[in-house]
Amino acid sequence: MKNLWRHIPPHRSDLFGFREVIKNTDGVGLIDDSSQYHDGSMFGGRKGGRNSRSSSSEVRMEHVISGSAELLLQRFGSLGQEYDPAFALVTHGPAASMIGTDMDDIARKIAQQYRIPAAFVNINGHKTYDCGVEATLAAMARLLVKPAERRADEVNLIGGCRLDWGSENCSAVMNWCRERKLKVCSVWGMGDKKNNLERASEAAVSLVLTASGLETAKWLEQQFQIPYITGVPFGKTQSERLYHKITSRNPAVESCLERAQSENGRRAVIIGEQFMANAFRTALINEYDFSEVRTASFFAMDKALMQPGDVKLKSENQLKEFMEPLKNWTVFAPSLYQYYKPEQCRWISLPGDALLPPSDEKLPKLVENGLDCWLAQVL
Amino acid sequence: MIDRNDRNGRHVQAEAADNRQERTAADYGLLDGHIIYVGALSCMRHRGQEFTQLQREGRLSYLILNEIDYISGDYLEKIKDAAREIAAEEHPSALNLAVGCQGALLSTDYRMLIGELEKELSIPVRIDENCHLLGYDHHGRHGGRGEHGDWRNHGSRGDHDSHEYHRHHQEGTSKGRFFDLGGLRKNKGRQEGETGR
Repeated sequence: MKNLWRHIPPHRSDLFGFREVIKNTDGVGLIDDSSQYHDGSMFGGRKGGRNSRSSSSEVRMEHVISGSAELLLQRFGSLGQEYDPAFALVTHGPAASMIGTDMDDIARKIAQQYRIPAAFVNINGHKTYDCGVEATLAAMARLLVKPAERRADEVNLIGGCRLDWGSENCSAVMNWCRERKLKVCSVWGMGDKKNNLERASEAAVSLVLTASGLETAKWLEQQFQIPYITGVPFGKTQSERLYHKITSRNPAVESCLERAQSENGRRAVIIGEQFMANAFRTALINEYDFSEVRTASFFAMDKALMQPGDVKLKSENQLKEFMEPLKNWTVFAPSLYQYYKPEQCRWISLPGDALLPPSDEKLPKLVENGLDCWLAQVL
Repeated sequence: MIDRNDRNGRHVQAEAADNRQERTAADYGLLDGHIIYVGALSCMRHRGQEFTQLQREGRLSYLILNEIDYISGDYLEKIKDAAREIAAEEHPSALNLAVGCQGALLSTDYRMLIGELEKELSIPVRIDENCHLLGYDHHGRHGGRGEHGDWRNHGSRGDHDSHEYHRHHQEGTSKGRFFDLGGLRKNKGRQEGETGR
């Protein structure tokens, strides 16, 4: 049955993506939902949840009748007092979205009362975390970015958060930019202040690090004619390519399969965030002589960046069907998918925080030659 | 990582830190049978590590529904389909349906649903309205609303309306819930990986 998950735990919902984006800014987020959100003890547990710059309204049955508007404004009052936010985003959970509270009006009232920019992010806890990241970034861009004069040497970093590759890789991506002397104009997803986000229109180019950043990058392109480049600097080959694309301002999407495919029969599949999986593919084909590498993901996949054989997964049954024929393949995937491990395959665990509960394992450092070093160890 | 076999004999690698005591369904105060945890993806965050352990043991499945399922009323049919699939493949001694806020918001007649399922599947079916919207909090402020089908003592129909049920519900005790994690936490501390309450 499509909706039944019998052996794989659920992925984090879009509301976790919303919280993750907000957490790293100087804004706050208010979720109209009946219970709070927490990160798990390894990220500070309930205490960590309280420090996440977001809170839930804790809506109850009586608000179905009376409406939750007053409750939301009251909750925002205490949230605002605690954080003194530079901006605010509001959204709703699955049950609260059925009540039909006018969330755009709540955002307007917050903006008027507290004199800060505020907007509604239209998600409701039914999609995966990446959709929440995507919608939140896009809402933030529409709310905050102001027209400004272009600076020739600045870059926006869009997408990418702890749930995608872990905190260490987020920091490492920032370090990679610094080491390459790339001037970062604004950072969308990994954390930045309102003052920097407002001036995203000054950048000469946007680097989109995950599929969740595409909507924002496309909007910036449409509004301010800022071209965007896609990819994440994991693996030496990919990092060099990406750096070249950024400095040459050439956003052309190139295939990672330009190297002649070998006939040695080594085949691999990577199940995870699309841009990260594509970086793995580039490394496996170019550095490790793999003849065929497929990617699959339960999260958003941009069709333009998919290769033949790549699959967007929607259900546990689909994962089972996808895995069954992969006998003798090398599989990079979270260990929690191992129930469907194909026969005689080589399973290499790809830890991540996108699944619930979060894994004890951490993703290794992948930036620049980090991916190559790790592949050399595990292959 | 630890190696283990699930109830179907398939090998699985379970994540468990050395210092984390592995728990079984019995540790969670779970009665016999299989849990189907029903709700939106966002609702699945509750009791993360604990429910993952039950899923590994083949004692729990997640039925993740979307807004169209609720708005169209299809969710009732999907719950029935899930129950049929689990009953046919796992042959549990009982089915425990854990449902959430959306069902409460739509005033779902769960008594009718479990009555139909019990008749069709010939196994006891219990329901636990694990609902925050109704003020449920597993840390002890309120009890869950459930026990539509406590088959052992009362049969599947009628008990929900009893004075005893309402007294327990108002007093905030856990009568009628087929798992009670509050006691476990009180004694053994919180689980790692908890992602919601």
